[in-house]
Amino acid sequence: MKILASYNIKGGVGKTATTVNLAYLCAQQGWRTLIWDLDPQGATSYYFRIKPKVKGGSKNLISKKKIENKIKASDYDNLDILPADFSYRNMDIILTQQKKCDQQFSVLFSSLEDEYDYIFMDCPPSISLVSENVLQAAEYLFIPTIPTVLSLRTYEQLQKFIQQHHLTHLKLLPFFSMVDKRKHIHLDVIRNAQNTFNTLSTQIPYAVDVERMGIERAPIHIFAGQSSAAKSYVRLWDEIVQIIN
Amino acid sequence: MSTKVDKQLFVMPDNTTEITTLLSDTPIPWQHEEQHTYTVEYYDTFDWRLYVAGLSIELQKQKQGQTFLVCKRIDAITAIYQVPYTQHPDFVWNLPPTWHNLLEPIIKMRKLLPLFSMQAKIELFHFLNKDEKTVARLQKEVRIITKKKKSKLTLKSKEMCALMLLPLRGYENYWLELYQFLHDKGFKNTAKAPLFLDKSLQYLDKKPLDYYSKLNLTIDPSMDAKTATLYILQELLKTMKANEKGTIKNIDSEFLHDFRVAIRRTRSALSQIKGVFADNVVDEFKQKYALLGQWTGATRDMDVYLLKFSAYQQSLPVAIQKDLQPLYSFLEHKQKMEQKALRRLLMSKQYHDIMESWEHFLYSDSNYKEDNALRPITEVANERIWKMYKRVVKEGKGIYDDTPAEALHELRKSCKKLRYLMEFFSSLYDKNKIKALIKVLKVLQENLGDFQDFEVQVYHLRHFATEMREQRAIPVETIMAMGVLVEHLLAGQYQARREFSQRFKEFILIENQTLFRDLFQGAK
Repeated sequence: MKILASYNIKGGVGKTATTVNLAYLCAQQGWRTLIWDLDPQGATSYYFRIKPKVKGGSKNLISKKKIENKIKASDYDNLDILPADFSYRNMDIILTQQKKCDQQFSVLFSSLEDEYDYIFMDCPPSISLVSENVLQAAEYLFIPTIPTVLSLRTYEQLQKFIQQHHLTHLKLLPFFSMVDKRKHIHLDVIRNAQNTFNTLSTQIPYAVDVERMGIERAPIHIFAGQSSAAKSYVRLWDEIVQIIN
Repeated sequence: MSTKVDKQLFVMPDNTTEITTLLSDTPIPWQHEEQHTYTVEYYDTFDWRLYVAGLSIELQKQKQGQTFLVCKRIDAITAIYQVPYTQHPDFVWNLPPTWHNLLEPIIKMRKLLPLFSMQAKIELFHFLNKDEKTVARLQKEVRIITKKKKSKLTLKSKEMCALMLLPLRGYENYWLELYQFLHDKGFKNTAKAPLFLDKSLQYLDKKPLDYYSKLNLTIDPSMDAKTATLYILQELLKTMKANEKGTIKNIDSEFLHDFRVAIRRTRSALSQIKGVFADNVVDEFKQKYALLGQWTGATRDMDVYLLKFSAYQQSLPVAIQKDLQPLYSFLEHKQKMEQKALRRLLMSKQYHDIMESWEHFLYSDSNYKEDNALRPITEVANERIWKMYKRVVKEGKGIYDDTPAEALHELRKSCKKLRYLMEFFSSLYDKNKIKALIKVLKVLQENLGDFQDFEVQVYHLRHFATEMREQRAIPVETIMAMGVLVEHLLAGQYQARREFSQRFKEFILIENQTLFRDLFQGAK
């Protein structure tokens, strides 16, 4: 079982779109896939038309470690969702009460070993105990990054955090997201950063089709499979699969 | 994804129902997805390994669209695995990695072969909640199987239909509501999924398990030795014939394996069931079968090394595992050459003549004047097994820690003869007792087999290294990795030799001796 997470300290960078589309492509290839929508705002759950509600909330999930009965099937083969819940906003407090409070997600996932091939976590922005759990449990971290100076600065902060916490098992997969090729500033930042930050070669363009996911409430490949954004996600997933394997 | 309600599948074998009318007053709104047409091709190994394990693999080709490879339990509706697939499934190592844990121990080295294909029409009704999320599905599946009418060119077909209410994980309440709705409409549920596979096999007159690689002989105790021996040899000939085509085509390595086992058993039966056929006949066919054994040996050796290769590689330290790779290419090439030669031999006139004369002998009504020919088979079997058992015990007792390897090899051969005799005649004895004794013998045989196999592997690997060096430049790292491998194998052989005395002590435990005596000394 491979555990992946879409993460960035900054918000609004395309984390949810990344999770939804990559997990969908993963499931389409036949891998038994689970997404955990960790963001209390519940955007991933919304995209899959699943109520952002988990029975017993964070407390039941973290302290009782009961996960199996909270999972919902999506409309697509091989793809299940552990929905968001508003109580996730207080998950840090519940995590603090546990022994080895930064490794609770790893324990939680161990019971799913036989059931899923891939687990994707869609994380809320910020650095918190929840994100520490994500970084401990995940093996690969997708980091959608908008090509701006501030975004790169945040990425550096994340790298530093990972170094300080000796998270050596974690492989960082930064890539440029919401790229607007009409903007010189985007092109300049990409040119300067690609080597320094070892970003993936695929870039996800800024596209209306990605925003339409909120209206269609489906992965982009369902309603705009031929769009350039959809094709970019396919290339991105191919690139990631090559790294993973 | 399987769910808790999977056990209560709702299956309604009926093709006349107009679903849209049926669902006109359903409590949950639904959306109709247009009908998809598929060709479904079933796969299994030559010896029905999937069927025995209660599984099926189907390649579902959508008429205009994707092809999926689906693995299901025969009596389940939902797939265990389903992946888009562009080729024909063949060996387990080429299937998606996620399937390996389940299927590797079942299929092992056998190739998946197409069984038959049928047409399928699938119509889906998605039940939606207020967010238009699918919460349950109703699937109407029609399968059409076509066969040629006997001795005519016309086609005949059979239609099978099932209506299935499919649950979705986390939305079981909707499923229950719909289940109740359909139940109230007068539909009865059946506990099992539609057995499309079984029904189709029946319709096509295909018998599952028509080939089974283990010896399965039923000898009537009232038979005379001649009749029983002819029966054994005829069955072995059937096994050879069943595997002949697969061996020539090299479909998978088990065809040749089973072909060779039948050859060895035939030779053993000829020489061990003594005094039934005339000496000159026995000598003639023993020679012919020895030749068949020789012909098939080299290819089988290469098959074994190719099958062992991954274990070889894993036995090495990770850092040098890849250094062994050139050996694989060498073995692969050598296997191809040997297989080509074997193919030529099995298609030769000489082979054809051997088989024809053997078949003629087995089925011709000859006069048997030999001493044992007309004696009851039980007496002859008892005598032969008891004699061979005594030989095994005697030879084993003569082996000490410093006895040369040849004595162990001789003992191994005697054990094999004993094993074959016990297997030929097992139906004459108490099932549990003979099974228990075969198991005891098997443990000893495994130890002797290991001792011999390790030695042969070391011998061959040394030869391969020389051959590889002569043929082309071979990296020094590969020779070194092969050296490490040889060291492991020698250590394995040493270990087997050390364990021998303990294994033999277990074999001649007093309770085993008593059981052997009770079963086989009746004739004395």
